[in-house]
Amino acid sequence: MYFIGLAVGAVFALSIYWLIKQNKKITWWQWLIALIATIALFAAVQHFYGSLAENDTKAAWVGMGIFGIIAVILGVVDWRLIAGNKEKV
Amino acid sequence: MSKLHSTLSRRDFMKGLGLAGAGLGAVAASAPVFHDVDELTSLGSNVNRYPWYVKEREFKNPTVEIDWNVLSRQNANNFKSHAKPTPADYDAAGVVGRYMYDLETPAEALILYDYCEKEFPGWDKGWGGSGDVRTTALDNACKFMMMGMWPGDMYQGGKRINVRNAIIAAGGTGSYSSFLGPQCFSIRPQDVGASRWQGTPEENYKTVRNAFRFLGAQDVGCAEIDSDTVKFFHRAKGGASGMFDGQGDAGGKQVAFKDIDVPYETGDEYAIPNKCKYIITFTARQSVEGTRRQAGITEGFAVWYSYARYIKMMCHMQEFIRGLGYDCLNMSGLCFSNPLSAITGLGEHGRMSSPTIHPKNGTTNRANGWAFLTDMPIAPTKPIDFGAYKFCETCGICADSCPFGIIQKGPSTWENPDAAGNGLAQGQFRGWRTDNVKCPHCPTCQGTCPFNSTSESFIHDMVKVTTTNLPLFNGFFANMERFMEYGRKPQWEFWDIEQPTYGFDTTA
Repeated sequence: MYFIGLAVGAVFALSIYWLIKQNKKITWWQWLIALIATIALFAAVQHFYGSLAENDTKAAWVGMGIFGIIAVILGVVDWRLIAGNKEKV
Repeated sequence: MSKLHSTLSRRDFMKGLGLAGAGLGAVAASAPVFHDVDELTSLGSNVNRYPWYVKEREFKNPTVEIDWNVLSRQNANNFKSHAKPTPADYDAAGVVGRYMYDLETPAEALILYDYCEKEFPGWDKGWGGSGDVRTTALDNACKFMMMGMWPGDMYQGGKRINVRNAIIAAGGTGSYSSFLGPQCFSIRPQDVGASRWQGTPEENYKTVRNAFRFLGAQDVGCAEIDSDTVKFFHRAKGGASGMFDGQGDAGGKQVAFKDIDVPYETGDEYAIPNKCKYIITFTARQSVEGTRRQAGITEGFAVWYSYARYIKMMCHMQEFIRGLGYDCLNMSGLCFSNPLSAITGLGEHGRMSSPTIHPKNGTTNRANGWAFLTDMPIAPTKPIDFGAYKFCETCGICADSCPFGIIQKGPSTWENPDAAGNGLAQGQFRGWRTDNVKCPHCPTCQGTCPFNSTSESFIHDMVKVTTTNLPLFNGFFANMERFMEYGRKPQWEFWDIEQPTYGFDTTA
């Protein structure tokens, strides 16, 4: 759980920092995509370490791949969408 | 301006605040107080504190469909089991295994060696056929007094003593497990002028459950004997196959329910007072990692050590209940454990047919549904549903893994002609049946059940929640189980992984 919290917290903090710096307007569905990406990231890390604790190595990597790819795709898409938004007045 | 300032008046705001406060106060006053999450999840009749998604069903209505009209008490002496070979058979065949086999013939041992060598390239069958030297050593270490069997030959005071023969010569049996219980230290209160324990059926359930858990069991189920449930108890005892030479018995002893006050056992009868109508069942866990690392012949140390511990635990329970002032009769071997487990809510009937599937431990239990009968009134527990029976309809991983192809494939049925050789009556339930005559008790299928998974990764609980409510995805989950390679693991890894005491997490 330590690594899960560390990874998700670090990504979350960087995202918020980036958002504040960009000073962009964000729509509700962009928040939704960000939430799903965060959950997918959380799932990838939790499943990876959980499966290693269960001594299921292949399951750990496969699960990490599936949830990790979802997190990365959604994260990148949301990042580019938000980057294209207008700045707050 | 209207967008910048609220139009809510101060009066309305205070009114809303008051109503919300009153509502919250009423909820807080009427809600039960929970000290922890376990208490919260155990609210209501979920006495065994199963995960929240496990549903309860009506009494005598487990997920496996039972035809109570067709069901009848069986003469277990007609049941057939796999014939036991001799060490000489192994010598004659020139096959490794004469010291370690359970019921496998030399030909079946060769099939198992080939199976394990293909499944885990580099696997060493060792000198005994069940793994390398240290695994074999642990297998044999765990056989000490397994199933309560008196040692045939052991050191006592510097001399080799045949304890079993001495006890049999004195009129005893090959195992310390007995119908009436040991009755060594338990003094009944009524025998010394004191009153026996008096509790409500609900209090008695808690008392029994806590004692069982103190002694090492996990869950406790209860039911009452009636004209239907009595049919799970055999009419006559079956002959035991016996792990070692001379440990089996011929069988045929009658199991009789009678209008008597005191239970008794004679050479040809187990006499049960009709007042002993309360059935107690329990679950007894075994090492998870040990279970899925069993290989070669014999089930292995995970199974043997469970059988060594829990038979003793049952004796303690018999002593405890007798000490409360009640009878406690050990019905092991005198009843069907699988349906008793299902109707008392300790699991669901599944494809493997012999073990029921537990919501948290899958098939890594021994003695799930072994039963006592007592005259102490105990509140019944309800059958449970967490989607296992439906999952088995489409899964079939255990059947695919069976090296001998004898676990029933396909959907549940009322009959299975392939299992008819075991002598059990068919048409009594809609499920799956394995022919015990063909099953050599190899160690394979136990470690394959998807429900064996622990909850370290969130995915298992998420899948279980889904299977409980949406069977539509069962086929997909079974395929993912195969693809992710859960289940059996290389035997040698057992020695490199950190494990909880006894091999299972007692807090899970």
